[in-house]
Amino acid sequence: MKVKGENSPSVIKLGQKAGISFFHVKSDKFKTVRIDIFLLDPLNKERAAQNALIPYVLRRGCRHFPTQQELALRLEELYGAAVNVAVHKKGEYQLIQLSAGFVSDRFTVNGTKLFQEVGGLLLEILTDPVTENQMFLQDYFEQERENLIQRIRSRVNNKMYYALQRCMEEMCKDEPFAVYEDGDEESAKTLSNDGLMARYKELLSQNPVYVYISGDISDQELERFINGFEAIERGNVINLPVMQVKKEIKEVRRIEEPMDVSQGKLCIGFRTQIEANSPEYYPLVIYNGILGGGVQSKLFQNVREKASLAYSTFSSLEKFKGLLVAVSGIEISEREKAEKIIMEQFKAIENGDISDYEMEATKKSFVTGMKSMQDSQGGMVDFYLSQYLSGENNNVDSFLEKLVAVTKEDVVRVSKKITRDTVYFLTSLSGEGERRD
Amino acid sequence: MKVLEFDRIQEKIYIHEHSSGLKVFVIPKKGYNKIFSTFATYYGSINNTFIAPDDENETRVPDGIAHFLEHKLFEQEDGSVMDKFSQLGADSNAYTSFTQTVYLFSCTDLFDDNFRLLIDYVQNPYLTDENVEKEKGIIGQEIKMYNDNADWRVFFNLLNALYVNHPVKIDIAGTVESIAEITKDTLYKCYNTFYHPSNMMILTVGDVDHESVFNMVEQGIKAKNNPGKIKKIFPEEPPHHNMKFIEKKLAVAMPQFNMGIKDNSHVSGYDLLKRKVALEIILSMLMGRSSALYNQLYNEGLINQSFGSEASLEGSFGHTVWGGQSKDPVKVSERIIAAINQVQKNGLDKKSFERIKKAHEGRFIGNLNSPENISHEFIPLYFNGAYFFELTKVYEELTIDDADKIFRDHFSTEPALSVIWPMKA
Repeated sequence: MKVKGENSPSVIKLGQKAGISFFHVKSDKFKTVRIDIFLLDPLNKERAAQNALIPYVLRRGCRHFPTQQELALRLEELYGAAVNVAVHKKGEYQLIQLSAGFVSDRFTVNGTKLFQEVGGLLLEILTDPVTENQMFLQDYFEQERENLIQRIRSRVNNKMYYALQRCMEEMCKDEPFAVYEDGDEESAKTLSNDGLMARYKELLSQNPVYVYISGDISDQELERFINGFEAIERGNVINLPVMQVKKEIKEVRRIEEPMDVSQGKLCIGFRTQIEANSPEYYPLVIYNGILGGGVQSKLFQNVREKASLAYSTFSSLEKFKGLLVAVSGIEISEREKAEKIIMEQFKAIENGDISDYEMEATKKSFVTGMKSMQDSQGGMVDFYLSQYLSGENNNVDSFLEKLVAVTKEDVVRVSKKITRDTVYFLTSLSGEGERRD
Repeated sequence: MKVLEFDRIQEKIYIHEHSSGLKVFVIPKKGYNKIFSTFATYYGSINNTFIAPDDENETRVPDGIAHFLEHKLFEQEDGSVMDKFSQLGADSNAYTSFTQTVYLFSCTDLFDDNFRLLIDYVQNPYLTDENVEKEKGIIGQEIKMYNDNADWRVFFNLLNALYVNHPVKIDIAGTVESIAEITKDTLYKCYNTFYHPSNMMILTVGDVDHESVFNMVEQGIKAKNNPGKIKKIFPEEPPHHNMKFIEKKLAVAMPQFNMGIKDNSHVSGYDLLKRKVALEIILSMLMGRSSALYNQLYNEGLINQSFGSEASLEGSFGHTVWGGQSKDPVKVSERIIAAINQVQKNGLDKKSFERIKKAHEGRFIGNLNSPENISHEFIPLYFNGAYFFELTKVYEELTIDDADKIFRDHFSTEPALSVIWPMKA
């Protein structure tokens, strides 16, 4: 199996100053340039909603473009450049993301230098918000707090994703991981504008920051952009704590959540006890592929193709916290049958019942997936950030080499560590398959 | 072989025509690892009534059959074709839209083997009474998943409000009841009618040798002659909307709404591209991020970041749609209608038009990074007689006067409103 990608964009660490790390994802095959700024904080119930609100308030305006409308006008002039903000969680870290995407200068006319213009604007949005009495504009604060509350409530809209998240939260209910990436509604409701400004200043001065610049940019332009960050006053930078992955499971918990739905979502959550920087992480990735990662997987073949119980059936691995969840959208009355078949697949791997086809097809699908990822600037940034956070620092080739080296015995060995923790079922109000109307 | 070059966006298309009438395209992507290849038929959920080339009588088939056939094509006499792609390290999939069914794979190695497999299986259906029955359970769950999906429901309810008779208003996958009627024979009837290469196209985007692709097609396509036209039959669709307002309750946190206007122009080719671009620019001018309306509604807490708009045009139907979440969709609807009326009086602003046109062109260029995006846009436009990359010419040529004419024509109808209300806990 050929694992080396000839056309890999190279990722160069440009430097680190006061806890701000800069990387260049260098390639000239793309028609766009991207800038991604991530601020990291340990996931924490008290701070999560506050952290989640900050980027949305920042996105409302900055010194030279103090309203959303002025910002939008400016971005349209810059060939439709996009500035987006988002909040994510990776394991027990909360990530605040500000990003910009725009066309490469070879598509602009009259020598417009978009990197300089948009880069400067993004930095201004991060560091120079619109204030009044040393606070964010009250209107922006209140409107975005309301939007945040609605965003938290709207979690229920995507039933599959909601069920998966809820299963993991129940598994970790006394651990930081149980905190939702946008925080909880009660905390969001009690946020104050002056508290938010204090938190914003803390974030800027003491939290680790990762900056990725993707595209064909000259060294001089990169240097000028990086120098712009020196205006940020940095204090002592906090260390991100090591995540607790190992946990003994005494008994399996069963959770049912009724909702007005016609299809049930069955989630079986497992603890893998395997850290992201462990050598056993690579067999675990293959394990997850064999169990529920794609058409060759046991879940797809058995729950869907053989038993016709589901259209969607897969397993999902939370890399940093070592959680694995098998998810299936099923008829509510078929719950027991589905659970039995899913657990049989889990047992089969433990018993070494893995065909050469399952093993090889799984590996090949990772090789294809990882090589394809190198055709996406966003994909590359996510991969390298995750590598950095796990402390592994693989590049794409070394990551793939480790995956391809995994043997059937390795997979069986890690399978024995994996224990069932929680069975979560999103069900209808009546417990039957019909939604009231 | 023909080559079309588009210098402004640094793209080109190699084109080959097979004797059966099949068109084959290669869009080279130097330096890309991934190759994305599709085999598509101009046959989708709306084609439920037709006269086959060798037939005199009209055939009416159950709703959801195009999508059902898409599922079944993966099944071959010696097992699932997905497994064969997996063995070759490729990701395979398919999707059915209103007007097309598209079979695809993406790979980074063994392109030739994967490509031959794609050509081969799409030409070789294997349907039995048992495997047709088995699929009904899986598709039944797919239908139920979409029934719980508010984004999907709010959109289909809107289509139901816009269209009186046109089958675009019918769910792509049909219903549990309609798919129950599907049999092996009806599936074969549809297959034999719509899967003739003359009604199909093949597109590959990636770092491949186009000559070798065209050779593989020459060797792999069985049909040699073009059997003539399939008569696709659509009911008469009146210009007015079916309903002004439609509503439903689902388990969502906040009301969701879609508004839209039916487009009665039925344009194709370059005119379609032009009209689509113009409508999307007009939507941005009326209610995009830089518009006064968007910002007023946002600042009043009536809309949020989920708000968006698009224009969709196909030969037999077309519409503009916009929407998102709102605590008061009815109020938003009134405000949008008032804003449209205002522009009807004052006309479109030239400066905004030029600025937004430039922004849309920039986003169009940015989307050319992704082979999937290119394929997704290229296929329906080709079937409607246009090349996706010709958009670059539209951005160059489109004037405010063109846009104004299209605005006055399309927005003369009052938009319809579809709302999903939250279920009370």
